[in-house]
Amino acid sequence: MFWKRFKKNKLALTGAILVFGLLVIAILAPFVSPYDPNIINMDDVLQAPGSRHILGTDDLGRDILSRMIYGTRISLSVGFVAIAIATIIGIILGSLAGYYGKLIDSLIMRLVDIMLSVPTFFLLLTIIAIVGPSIWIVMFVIGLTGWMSIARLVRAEFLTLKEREFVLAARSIGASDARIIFKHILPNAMSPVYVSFILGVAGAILMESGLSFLGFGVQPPTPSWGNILTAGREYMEVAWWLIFFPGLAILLTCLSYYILGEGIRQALDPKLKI
Amino acid sequence: MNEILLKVENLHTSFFSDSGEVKAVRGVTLSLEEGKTLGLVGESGCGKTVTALSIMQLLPNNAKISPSSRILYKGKDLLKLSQEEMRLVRGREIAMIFQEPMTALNPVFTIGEQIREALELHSNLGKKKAMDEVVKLLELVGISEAQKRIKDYPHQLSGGMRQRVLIAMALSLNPSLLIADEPTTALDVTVQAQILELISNLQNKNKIAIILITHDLGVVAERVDFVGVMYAGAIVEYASTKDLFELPLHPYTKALLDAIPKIGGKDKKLNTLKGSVPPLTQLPKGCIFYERCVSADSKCIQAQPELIEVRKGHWAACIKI
Repeated sequence: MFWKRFKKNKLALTGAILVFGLLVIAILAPFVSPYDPNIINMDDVLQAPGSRHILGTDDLGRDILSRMIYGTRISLSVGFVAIAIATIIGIILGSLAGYYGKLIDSLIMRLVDIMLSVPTFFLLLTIIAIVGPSIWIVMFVIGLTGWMSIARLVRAEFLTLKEREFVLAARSIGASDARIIFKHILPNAMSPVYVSFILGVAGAILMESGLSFLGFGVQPPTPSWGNILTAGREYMEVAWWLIFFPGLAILLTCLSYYILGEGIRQALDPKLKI
Repeated sequence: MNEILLKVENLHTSFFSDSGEVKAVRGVTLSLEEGKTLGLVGESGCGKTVTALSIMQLLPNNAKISPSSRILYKGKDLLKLSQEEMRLVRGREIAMIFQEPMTALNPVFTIGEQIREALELHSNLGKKKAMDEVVKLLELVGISEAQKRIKDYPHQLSGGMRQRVLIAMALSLNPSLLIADEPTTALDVTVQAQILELISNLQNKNKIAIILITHDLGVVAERVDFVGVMYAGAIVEYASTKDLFELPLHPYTKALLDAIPKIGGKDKKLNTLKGSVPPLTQLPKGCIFYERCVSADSKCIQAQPELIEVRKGHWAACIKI
């Protein structure tokens, strides 16, 4: 049913194929990249895209295509892990707020308001400036500052679902609160979470690229799209390929996640006729 | 005489909302012997369901049971149990089936999983054994091809089938008391008869006591041993089914019986009861039925009538009797 509706949306299908393709590339990075991403070759410095290096080389003669393929791994894993953390926190806090209501709800929702008023990007910069840059810190901070919208979505779903009769029926056979929350209500509340997850991955990838670009994210020589861009910035006028391809990769990745997310939303929305 | 299974004494349940206290149940007292059926009848909003939910302690958060109320089940006061102890009573000792079979099942799980859950909650059968038990239960409630049906989702079943599934769920743990809250209201008449027949059969087989909540006096006449007639949160008449139908005492009961269409009767307008239930936020000092009562006089507004035993086993709350 979901698949049938989803298939009709050609744009979303394209997004899905691109997202899937990126995943395959990330997993198979050692097999699909033509060169070792960190091997320095002074004979091939700043080569333009050509037959030997499809996307050219950088100032140290490293193959851009290979570096970008390995960069896919970093970008996707940061995106997924960060948003997985955010989603788990969001689901737990949103469920508790929506199910118990009253004081617990007020406390959690005020926490959401407080967190939303903190500019995430600057918080990230501050934390990294204090504890030093690391891919794990980036993941955790993006995760710990990105759960609010998911918590709100889950809470809203819970507010309506907890009044449904099947919840009363579950309580009447002696189900515990935890069981009702996670086994009975949560599976009914998941569809907006899926969409939010996919869109969140795009946001996290973008944020990681931004941080790496500023030098606060993934540290060289480990390749990430953001730091390939930074390295290429100095040679922008002589070697356009150094910034063009990583920029394009970031753009296309985020775009394909967004259209995939939108497609899933449309396919899950029963009110929408496709 | 059988042993008393459930005794509700002076149950008061109120809802607290912005517009004040709504006294939904006002001093309900009833008792039920093992294996017998008690019918609770009355119009919408008279407190039947709230009484049931009070016994199960499944009331919404804004409801409160007054501390003077007592709900004795097998001699234990359910109102004094901790939440965890009460959770173990639900399902295992007292089970409930609901009015709307359409919404009482979780849409994202197969019916097999849902019944199995009830079993798993209170026993430690293995997964395989529990599934066999589910198939047995479904066969017991008259679902054919149970083996195949366990993989169905609720939306694939008709209303009657879903009510059967809910009954199977309620009975899976062999409760001693089953509260059936208008189990057939949402079903059409033929299915209604089948479901009631099923409940009676299971009652005889397993010796379950039942509280049957309904607004259908026809259902009461056929299936119930004792009847409590409720009006505006209180029981106004309580008797054995036979006594109640032969000689109704309270004017409200009379009016209810009068409003049943009779087969073979002459073509004339059906008697109806004028007016509606007074708002439960502002209760009058006197008899609550005063405004709609045909035999009311000035004495009726002075004090609320008590439920008194007019004849042996036949109680009514009206000063005119």
